[in-house]
Amino acid sequence: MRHISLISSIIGILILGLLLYLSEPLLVDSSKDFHKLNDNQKVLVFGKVIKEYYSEDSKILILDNNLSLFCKKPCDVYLNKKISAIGKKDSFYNSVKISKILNK
Amino acid sequence: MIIELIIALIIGVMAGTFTGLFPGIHINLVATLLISSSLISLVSPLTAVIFIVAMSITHTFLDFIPSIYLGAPQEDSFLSILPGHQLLKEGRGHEAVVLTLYGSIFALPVILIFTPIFVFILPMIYGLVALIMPFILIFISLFLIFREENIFSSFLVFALSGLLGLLTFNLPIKEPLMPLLTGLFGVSALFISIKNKSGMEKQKELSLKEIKLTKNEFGKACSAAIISSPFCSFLPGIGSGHAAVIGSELIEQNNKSFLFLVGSLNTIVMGLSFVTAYVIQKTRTGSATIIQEILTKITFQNLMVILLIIILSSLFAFFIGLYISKKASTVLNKISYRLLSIVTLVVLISLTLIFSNFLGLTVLITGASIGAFCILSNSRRINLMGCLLIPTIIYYLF
Repeated sequence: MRHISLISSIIGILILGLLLYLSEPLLVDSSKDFHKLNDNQKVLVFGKVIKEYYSEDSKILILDNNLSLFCKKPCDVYLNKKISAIGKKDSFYNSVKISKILNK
Repeated sequence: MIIELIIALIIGVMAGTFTGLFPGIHINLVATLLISSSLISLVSPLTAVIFIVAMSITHTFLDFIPSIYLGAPQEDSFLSILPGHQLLKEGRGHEAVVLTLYGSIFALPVILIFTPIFVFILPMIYGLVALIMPFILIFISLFLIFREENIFSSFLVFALSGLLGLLTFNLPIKEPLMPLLTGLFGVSALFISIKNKSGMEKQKELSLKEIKLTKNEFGKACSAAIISSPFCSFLPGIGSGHAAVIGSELIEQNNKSFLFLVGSLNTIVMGLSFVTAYVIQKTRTGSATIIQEILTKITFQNLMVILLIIILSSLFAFFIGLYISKKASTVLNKISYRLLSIVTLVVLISLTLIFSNFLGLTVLITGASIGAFCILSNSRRINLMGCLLIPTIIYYLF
């Protein structure tokens, strides 16, 4: 029983790990769709950066579709550039925490 | 106006009783529903704040009842399952609940004493504590593992729980704490007791005079609460669970003093989160965040009202807790413990599917497996706290 519980623990962790790394990002192009998502949902967003400002140790990028992106410093200047980025929904900041900017 | 405020207090206490007794119904959910509904525009901001404070404080008194009697944990009461379940099997479930209620009442003077200290000292020490907190947690984690007889099993339990915690907090799971803590602390223990066909002695209904701690137990629990709670009341991601581990590892506790300790920590951390929101405008609990949203800026007068509501709702909650615990204890004597465990298990799995999702169920099953491995390895179940300690250490370090 002890061994079975250990093996099922490891299998469970492997499954969750695979789900975390292999899941495809959801394409989100409006803040309305964004609010419906669960926290930590992997998303692909794109749009033109219309505003940039600093908040503590991060930079907030506001896109023309009202989505806000959370970019950890050091973060390049993207103002007036069209970007697409992969990130995760962060409900606390009500924004996308960027993990990778694909193109600019 | 006064009548409106009294009604808000009473409805808040009733809502806190409901959220405390039903696992899965979180205070944040009720508070969020309130501010997103049109109801908020019908009442004054202060009325809404009174409702939220009364609900949150009452919740911290009552959430131990399902944890102890059913093994169904909530976000802040899950550690009470460990000694609570053992006392329940010995027919002392009511005693276990009353000890947590004593702890919650003890929280009142602690909150009142720490309020002026927080006002003057917190802005100065916030940065320093945030800087050293991960190192305190690393030290406590190593202490947890190395004080065990079987270090390898203890390490394995701690590391697996930590990995599960990390994955859970990074996957798109609704209400991630629910399946995580229910699996590790609740379902695992229920599953083992169903499998072992373990029974439960007839529940004793002791009077308040008969339920007491020795001076030594009281002193140890109070010292642990006073040492650990202030540091765990203002940093994001650190709460009563962390405080309980720090407190109980620094000052050794027995079952009774541990229940008193977790009861006090739950209420202290909630109460001081409102004080923190006033002092440094940073919020650690969902309730404090919503209060800040409603009031925009918490004033000194608001803080005084909040403290008054904490005291009043605590008094109501104590007696409601006593009454419900007595009733629950009587009902338990009429039901087969095995049947109750099976029904609770089914309910917990169903709640996970309703409030979380399929991913939540996977977390629940994995957590239950790690919890079962921990029990069967005779490792202390506090090692399962790796699920919160490792993600918190990583959050603060990187």
